[in-house]
Amino acid sequence: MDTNQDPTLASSDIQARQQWMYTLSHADIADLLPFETRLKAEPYQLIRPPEIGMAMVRGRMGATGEAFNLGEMTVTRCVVQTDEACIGYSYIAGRDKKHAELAALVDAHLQGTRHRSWLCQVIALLDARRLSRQAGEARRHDSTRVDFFTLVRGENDVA
Amino acid sequence: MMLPEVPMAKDKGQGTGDRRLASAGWGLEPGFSDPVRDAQQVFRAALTVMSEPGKTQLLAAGRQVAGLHGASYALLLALADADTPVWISPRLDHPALRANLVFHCNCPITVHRPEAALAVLDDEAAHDTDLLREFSVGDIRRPDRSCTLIVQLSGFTGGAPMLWRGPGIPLEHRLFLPLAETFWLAREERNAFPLGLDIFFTAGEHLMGLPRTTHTQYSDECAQVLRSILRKEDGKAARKAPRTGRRRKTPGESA
Repeated sequence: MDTNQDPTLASSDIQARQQWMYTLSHADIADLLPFETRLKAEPYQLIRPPEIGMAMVRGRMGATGEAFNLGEMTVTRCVVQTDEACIGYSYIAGRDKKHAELAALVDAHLQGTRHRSWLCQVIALLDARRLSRQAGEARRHDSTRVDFFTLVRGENDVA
Repeated sequence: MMLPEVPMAKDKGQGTGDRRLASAGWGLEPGFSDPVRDAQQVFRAALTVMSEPGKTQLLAAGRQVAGLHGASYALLLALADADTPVWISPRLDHPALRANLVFHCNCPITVHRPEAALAVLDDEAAHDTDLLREFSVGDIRRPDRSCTLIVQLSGFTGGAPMLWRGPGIPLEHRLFLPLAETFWLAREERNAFPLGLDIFFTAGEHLMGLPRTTHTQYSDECAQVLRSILRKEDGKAARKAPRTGRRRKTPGESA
């Protein structure tokens, strides 16, 4: 699919957008909700209202084998257009339409003239929350961690 | 490693540097407000007009996009997808229309008429015999592979009276579509059942269907008018002929 064929786009721009879309899709909806009134302050249009659908998840055995269909997952997507004619997209795992709409709005605003302020205020905060959440989870998992490399299997010792 | 395959629509504007310009492009319009219900209703209307030729249906779901009538746009939203190359006549072709169709339907827009599955024509293109000859009528194994024409008209009245007969019509329908003889002749030429062109007529938010199975002919009064015109012309020619004959004779007589 010729998605990124626009020659005016540098790959760093694409990477930056991928980064904030990652952040938005991994954000907790509770962290996004406080920005709702600000995100909706300016008029916008729902080009594709939030809709729930399925996406096929594909995988490779050991990351190297042939691709196979692992199964379908639920995805919610949304596309908005702001008054600045910026088009924001979102694809969110799960069925949260509000999350999809807010994420698309953030994406649209991030392409607008006030890119920097949105980046500093929303994405930075969401990133920090996500990292702390992940760190907390990692700590919780670490407490019951078993290191399998210390186990010795005895079958080779017989001979 | 797992990669979710998400069907991403072709989008403009993924940049940060030239952000505004990149995504401004041609404005996108919302598609159906309720995609599932609206698409089903439009599809139902399309089936109705095709099974009962001459009947009109109202398609309120579509909006006017770049010169395309609401009914034409609604029909495209419901029928076009990635497997249906769409041909758009030059007078209706507009970047905004292309952007919206590609976004909402993900359909390829083609310039090769023989490969088009759907074709959108204005009334000028509908009268271009050479153009109509290029659309696919299917082949004998797969007559369903024919191209479906969407002909956009100013209205369904104002033309010469035509009689429609055939499946789905109880007796006959008399219609006054604003189309000239060249269109009807071209259609007849392309129709060799089971091959042929199926046609949707749209005007504003109204839809009418003309499947390949419908026989059309000018109604009697129209045929009478045509005959009388022909007779008059014959009469003129006949009256002219002796005069010219006389003139030709005159030198001989005088000689």
